[in-house]
Amino acid sequence: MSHILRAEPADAVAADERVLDYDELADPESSAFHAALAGEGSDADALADGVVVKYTGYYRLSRN
Amino acid sequence: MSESYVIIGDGVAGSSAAETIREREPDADVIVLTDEGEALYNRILIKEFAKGKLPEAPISIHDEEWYEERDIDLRLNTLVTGVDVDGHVVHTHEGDDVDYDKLLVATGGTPTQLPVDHSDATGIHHFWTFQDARRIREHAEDASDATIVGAGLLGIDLAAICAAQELDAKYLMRGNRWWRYALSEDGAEIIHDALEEKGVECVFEAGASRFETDDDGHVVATVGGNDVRYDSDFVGVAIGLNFNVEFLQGTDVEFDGGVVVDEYMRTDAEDVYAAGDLTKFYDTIRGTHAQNGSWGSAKQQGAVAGHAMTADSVEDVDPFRWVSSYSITHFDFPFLSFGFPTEGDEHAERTYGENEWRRLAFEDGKLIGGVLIGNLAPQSKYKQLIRAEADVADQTDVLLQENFDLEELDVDLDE
Repeated sequence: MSHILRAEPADAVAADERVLDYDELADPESSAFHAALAGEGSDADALADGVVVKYTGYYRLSRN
Repeated sequence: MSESYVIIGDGVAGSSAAETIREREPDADVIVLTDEGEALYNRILIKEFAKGKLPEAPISIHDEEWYEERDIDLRLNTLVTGVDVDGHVVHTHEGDDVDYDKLLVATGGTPTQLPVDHSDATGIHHFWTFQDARRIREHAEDASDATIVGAGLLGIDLAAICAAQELDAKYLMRGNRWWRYALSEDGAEIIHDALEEKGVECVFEAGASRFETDDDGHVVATVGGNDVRYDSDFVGVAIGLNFNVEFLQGTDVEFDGGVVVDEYMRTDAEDVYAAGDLTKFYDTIRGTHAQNGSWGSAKQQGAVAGHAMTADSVEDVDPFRWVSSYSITHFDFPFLSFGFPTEGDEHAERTYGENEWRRLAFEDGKLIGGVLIGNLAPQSKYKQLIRAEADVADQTDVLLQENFDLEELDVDLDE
């Protein structure tokens, strides 16, 4: 079963959440992130479930 | 085999090196000396903390337990005052001597102060450390009028912080545009408009010739050329970094605008390595020494240094070969610079629509860097072309397509 990566805008970030800046993403991770933003999903394992990425806003990643 | 590794600096370069060394040498002594009072934190995200957008916790990367688990001796609040390269000894401000078999210098830089009257007044901020971010956030929450000086990548962070904290902010730029060596007027206009939308007034051909203070020594105004006066109870200055290398004076370590290292992070001095923002590293892609500070670059340099310091021979080590990138995420559109966008003998640019623009820099026909605004997806392809040292300057019709495939280029992509 493939798990599609989604990136949802997050209004707030909790103190116990893991936050990465876009600059911390390696090339495979940034490609996966852009695919997730575009709604095209990705079954790449490059990005962890629950991580919040600071891009133009905050985006919480999830897999389902 | 060497047994004692000393690392000066616990930023991402030093920390990356420490982790690499421990992975390769489970029984060695690994000592990390830092003049800061806290362990590795996320220097990229401290601006979000200063804006009031993030709490402290997500900024911290390592806690003391991380070092204990790896048997790494972390010594906070420890300033290195000198190095005896022949004797393999590091001297600290407390009078301690720390012996080493291999030494890594990863001390980064300290923001440059403006050489004008009252530039050290209370309320004038530089922005580099987490502690700086705490002071900025606390002060900005009570301040009203701000000026920002420094039309580059760090200055815009200060401008964005002022905007987020709802200060009446003026961003003083010496030239006619922000980051004038990387952006054309078309590209910079996008940034200027975005700043103005956030309430930051861009003031061109302007700078600070002095500051005025009250009787308590707190800044009250910034005075520019022709005695133009800007009310400011908050000032942010970002005009550059001075690298923290005073302790290397008198050693053989070559300094030429940065600590000179080869592609394995080795300095001229035996058993002394350097990594991170302060290096002038040998760039195997361009075939020359270069400087290009960024988080990813520093992390990779630390890893290479850690590997080289523990290897029997550098022939066993993958050299540093990296395309830096640096993003700005303050606005509704993304911004990314990669490689060496301010250099090159040829440039090409295109505007694609509102808040979407791109500029590429070439050197001897090869892509060496660029700036993307609005659409960052092509960055990995551009980086691949840079690593491949591809001769593509005559194919800008393809390169500047909004979306292109590498297969459309007449190029050999072996890296």
